[in-house]
Amino acid sequence: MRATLIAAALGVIVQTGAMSAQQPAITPAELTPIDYIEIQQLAIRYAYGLDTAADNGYLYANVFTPDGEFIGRQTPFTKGRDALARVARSVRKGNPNFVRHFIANHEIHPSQEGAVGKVYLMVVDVEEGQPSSIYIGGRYEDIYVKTEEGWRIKRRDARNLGAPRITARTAK
Amino acid sequence: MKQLPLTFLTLSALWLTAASTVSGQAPTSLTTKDYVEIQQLTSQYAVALDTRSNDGNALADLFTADGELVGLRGTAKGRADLAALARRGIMTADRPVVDVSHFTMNHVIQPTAGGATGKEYVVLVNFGPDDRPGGDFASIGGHYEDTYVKTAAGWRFKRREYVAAKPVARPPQALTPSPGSASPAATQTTKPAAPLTADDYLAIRAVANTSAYGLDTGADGRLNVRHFLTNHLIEAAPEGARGKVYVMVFDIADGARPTSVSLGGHFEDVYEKTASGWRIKSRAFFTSKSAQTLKAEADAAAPQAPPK
Repeated sequence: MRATLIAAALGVIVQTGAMSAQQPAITPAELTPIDYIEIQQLAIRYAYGLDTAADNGYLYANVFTPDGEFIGRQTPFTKGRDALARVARSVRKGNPNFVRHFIANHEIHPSQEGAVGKVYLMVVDVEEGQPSSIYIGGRYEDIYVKTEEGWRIKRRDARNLGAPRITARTAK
Repeated sequence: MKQLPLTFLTLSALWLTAASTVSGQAPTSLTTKDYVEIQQLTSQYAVALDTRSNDGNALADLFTADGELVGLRGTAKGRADLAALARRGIMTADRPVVDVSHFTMNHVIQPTAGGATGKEYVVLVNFGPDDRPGGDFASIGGHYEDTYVKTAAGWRFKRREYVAAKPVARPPQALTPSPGSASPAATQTTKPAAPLTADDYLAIRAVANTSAYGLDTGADGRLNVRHFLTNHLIEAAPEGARGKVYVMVFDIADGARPTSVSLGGHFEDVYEKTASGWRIKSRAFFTSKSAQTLKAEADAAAPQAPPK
């Protein structure tokens, strides 16, 4: 009886292992054109949120899920909308006229969770009457999920940025 | 809010009309998905170029089997040559810091009988390593002229040619800043607005991108690459749609003069759907100003208290 149980248990383990090995990888759901566009708009709203600090920082924070995460080169880890809004509010230069975060080359792919993406960033000071200068730039790597509010950033990894310029008038 | 003169909008509309009829053959239409896939193709190109990933094959995979690339450092045709050129560096020999350098903007796509053609601006940026923080604009900037075809594997480049900007004497600044303040929030909608479809977003984006070509194309038809538009935020509005788009006006390197941005700011647009498609109804330009600059301007403009 005992030998039978062990054999049965081993059989289950072997069978389970075999099933795992044979199970095809889950194919990511295809994204529709409006999904791509909404995700692109999301990344753009992120830039406006940082540059304007609008809605007390929540224009920026609300592009993330409520438990959204930002991993930065200078700000190691920020999680949750309240903490993210504080980051946006800390941009002392922010106002509706201010532009600084320029994004390009937004590559998006479907994933099992929703979508993943990479987007180029250059942070350039282009204020009137001053010579232009590059503050920092590089690439964000993102995870997007579709929520009841629409597409949101679940995680943005900004570790792949160059070294920031250090000047007296550097904004955070 | 000061609006751009009608001549600017008219020129852009004329450019748009001309661009849609350049092909001798009757163009076939593209689906929304086609436009999105072609846009993704050019984004993937930038990443593949900068990362030189998969031994150059990531870039080669974006071209047809007989695809051709005319880059700054040579021409390649066919997968093996394309991968080899990607490994050597298409625009520069040096691999960029953090694998990011090649910024493309102002992508416009036109259907053709064989697939599609497109153009987009490009400027290269050298971001700083830890010992040289910040970065600078490379001396490389211009635009691409593309031919795309739809293959069994999806949209691919049939041909991509880099056309370097030809520096000219700095033309007069085309953008007149609005004296007012930019709108305080992303959304100003007060009345219910009809939702925008994916087609609407793409058409509005195309109109805005086309406006850059309208600004930069001279009376002689020559393109002088300067106005780089990006971060195009579009929202439904009672008039049709409203949008904001960032703009950097570049002076691409000319001899000893390095590449720089001579003006930066954003447009605030109102778009209207006409019988000819989406068009810009009004546009205002705002230069970039920090909160500190705005405060200083307000303080300077405030009436001085009379001396006691």
